[in-house]
Amino acid sequence: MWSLPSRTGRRADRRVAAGPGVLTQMGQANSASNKWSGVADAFSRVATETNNTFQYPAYGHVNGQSIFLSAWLDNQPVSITGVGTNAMQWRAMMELAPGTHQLKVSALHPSGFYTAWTTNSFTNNIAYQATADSYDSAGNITTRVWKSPNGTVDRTQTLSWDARGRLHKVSERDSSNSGYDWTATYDGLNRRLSTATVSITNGVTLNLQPSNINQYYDPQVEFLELGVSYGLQTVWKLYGPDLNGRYGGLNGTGGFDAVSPYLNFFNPLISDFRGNVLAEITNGIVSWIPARPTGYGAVPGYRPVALTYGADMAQSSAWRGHWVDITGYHQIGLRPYDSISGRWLTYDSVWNQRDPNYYSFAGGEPIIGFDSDGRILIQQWQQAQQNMLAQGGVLNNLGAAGISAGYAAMQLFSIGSFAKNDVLADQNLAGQISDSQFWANASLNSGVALASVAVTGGSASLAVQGGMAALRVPAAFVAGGATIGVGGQAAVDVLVNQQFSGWNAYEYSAISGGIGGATAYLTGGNVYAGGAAGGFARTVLVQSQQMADDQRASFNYWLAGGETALGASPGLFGMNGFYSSVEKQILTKMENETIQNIAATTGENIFANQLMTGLPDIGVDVWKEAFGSSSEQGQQTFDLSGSSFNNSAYSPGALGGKR
Amino acid sequence: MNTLKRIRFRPKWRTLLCLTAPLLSFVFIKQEWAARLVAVNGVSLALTYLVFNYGLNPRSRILGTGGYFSVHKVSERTKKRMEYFWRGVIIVFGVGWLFFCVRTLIYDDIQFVRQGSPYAEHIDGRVTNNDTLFAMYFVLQGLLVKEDGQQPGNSYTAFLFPRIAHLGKTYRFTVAPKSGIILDFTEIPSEK
Repeated sequence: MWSLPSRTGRRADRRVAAGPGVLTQMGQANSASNKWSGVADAFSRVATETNNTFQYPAYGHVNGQSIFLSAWLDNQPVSITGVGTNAMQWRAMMELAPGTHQLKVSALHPSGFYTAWTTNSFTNNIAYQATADSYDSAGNITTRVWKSPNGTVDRTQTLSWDARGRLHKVSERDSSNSGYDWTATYDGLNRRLSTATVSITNGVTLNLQPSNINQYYDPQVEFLELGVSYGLQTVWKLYGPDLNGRYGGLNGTGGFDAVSPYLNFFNPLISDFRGNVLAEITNGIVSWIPARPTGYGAVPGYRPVALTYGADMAQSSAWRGHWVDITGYHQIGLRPYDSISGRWLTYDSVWNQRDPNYYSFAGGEPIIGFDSDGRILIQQWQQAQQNMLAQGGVLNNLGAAGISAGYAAMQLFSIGSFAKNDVLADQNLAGQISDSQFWANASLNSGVALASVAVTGGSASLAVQGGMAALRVPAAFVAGGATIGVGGQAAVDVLVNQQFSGWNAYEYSAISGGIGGATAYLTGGNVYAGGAAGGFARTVLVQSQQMADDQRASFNYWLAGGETALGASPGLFGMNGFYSSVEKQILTKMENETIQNIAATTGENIFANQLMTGLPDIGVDVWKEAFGSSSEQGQQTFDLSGSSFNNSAYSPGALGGKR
Repeated sequence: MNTLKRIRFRPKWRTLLCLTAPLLSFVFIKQEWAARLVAVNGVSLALTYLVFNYGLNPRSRILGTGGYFSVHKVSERTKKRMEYFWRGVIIVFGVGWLFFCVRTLIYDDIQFVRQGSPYAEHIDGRVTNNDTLFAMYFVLQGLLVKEDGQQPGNSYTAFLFPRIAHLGKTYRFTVAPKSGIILDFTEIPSEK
């Protein structure tokens, strides 16, 4: 069950009038139990939460040696941590509802033959826990404090974020100052590579045995995790097509078919329609997983257990095939997700209507959709791109390429600028720059990044939503521009590089030339604008590809500016005048009624000029003036390149113009 | 082919003069790196002036009469809006040019004035990519240069060089550190 916040709880400036809104309540319908609720602050962010099925720690000691601990609350497995192999202290995280409960903890002897266990029954009199969340200026959650109704602080979490907005540390402490410090490292593509957890007991850090989890990814799919290693074990994950029918299309959601925990072992998984893992088959025996997944996570009290803390890969991945950390959060692609409150922990810098408060998960509709990388907008772009490609046609392909270019530019500028913030942070920590210098420059970089995101997002949106406008650009303009681009690249290869640059270079030259041609058309034949747009598009495409291939360390603004200016330079050399003079002479004579028609050879020349410059508009004018209405067409026949063209084929319509 | 005979090339002389006048520094300044620094400064400032003049001057012709307007009826109001949009794009480009390029060049200029030639950075590296437009290498060469053992190449820009930095060859580059503009380069013969 979800409910909407009040009107005042929504961002008025976004005018969110419809849609699911911000999630503020979850639980069983018509029931007072098992209910989570949240209250939105002035920014529509959930800042205070109330939960009557809350997490609470339990402690104990193992009297002897053990290599593996398990814990169950009311016969449901819960996460448990332990340090050492002898007389270790364990800490289990229970999810408690008010009432009577039984906790059972077992310890496996190192020989593997003996298991000792103990049970403890108790009554939970705490009716609920209230959570207060604090945010930093970037919109990331920084602290979470859980309190009992009497005001006792039961648990705190301190979350730290790096300059790229990635969760790199979580420190959790309970009322006895026990807990853990969890840290994460990421690669340059923002994929989480490893986590390390250090237990803390009564304020003493037990850092001799940190628990490490390493993650391995498919090199061709951005966030598709292929393997995970922990302890002495590496578990490999086997995938088929995801829910959208493509391998890696949803980063493994729905396609997680089996795990291989050891060499030559292969355990198939049984999943449901939404990609929730229901059971694991081991040696022909089906083991049903006790977690009960829902759209946002799981039923309170039946949540998946953290990986390596009482659960294996399949058990921990019950919800949508994504395993849960000891922190209670799922790392889904780019962003951490809290399944209890059903939201992301980070601010989404790209607003969309389905994400009214910047933290909503899957647009508030996780049953019918899923956000597999934390960037639902990007998915929408990609979907639009696929649709355009599927529909085919030159202009649709160009539009799809435009989306790619917009996305590449967004990645380029935003990542580049945020990367500079990383450097600044390092310099600040090293004392090389002051705090004020750091904040001033970091703000500037972030501004550039966000502005580029806005601009490129807007451009891509225009490319998609303004498909009709794009279709009005005559193909001849695009083709003419592309011809110039390809010709220019060939000239570079022959004269400068003296070797073939590869098909990519020609592809980018053609695309950017096409963009230039379209720009020239939309500016009414402005060669400066067309050339500049083509030059700029080319440099962005080429440089972004080189950065993606790890060939280029950084974006060269001088090159971008220089190529843009150089692209505009044909206008300086009289290209405008060249066509204007032709057009002017012919049209003036027609206006003066000096001539009624033009010769076929003149038509040939103009058409050749059009192809050369990607500016067939003058030809449109010429024919319009020469032959008047369409009823008058067909009177002239032009002989071009040895072929006969009648006016229906050689008319403004054929050039892409409209009468 | 009568039409081609009637073609009149009408270059924008003032603009061309603005852009080519800085090349005179190669005549009056003996040291090539210094001459190039002056020339690049001149061209950059000229380009800045031209861009802002084009974007802000109400007399500059932003929209043509052909293209879209030859096949669609567009009201004057819409045309005006389109013109403002394109002017905005030009101004944004100009601001970006000032911030990302001219600013770094001015910083280098100041340092060169204060420290002289020792401020320049010398880099030995292999050219892995030479990016230019329409093969106009004598105006602009965008070079990717890899030093020994380096994976992603550093990007430098070579303006106004009559010679080509060939792919695969190793050169000693004299670079303005902040802007990454190559002021001079000489080939280092490969050891065989």
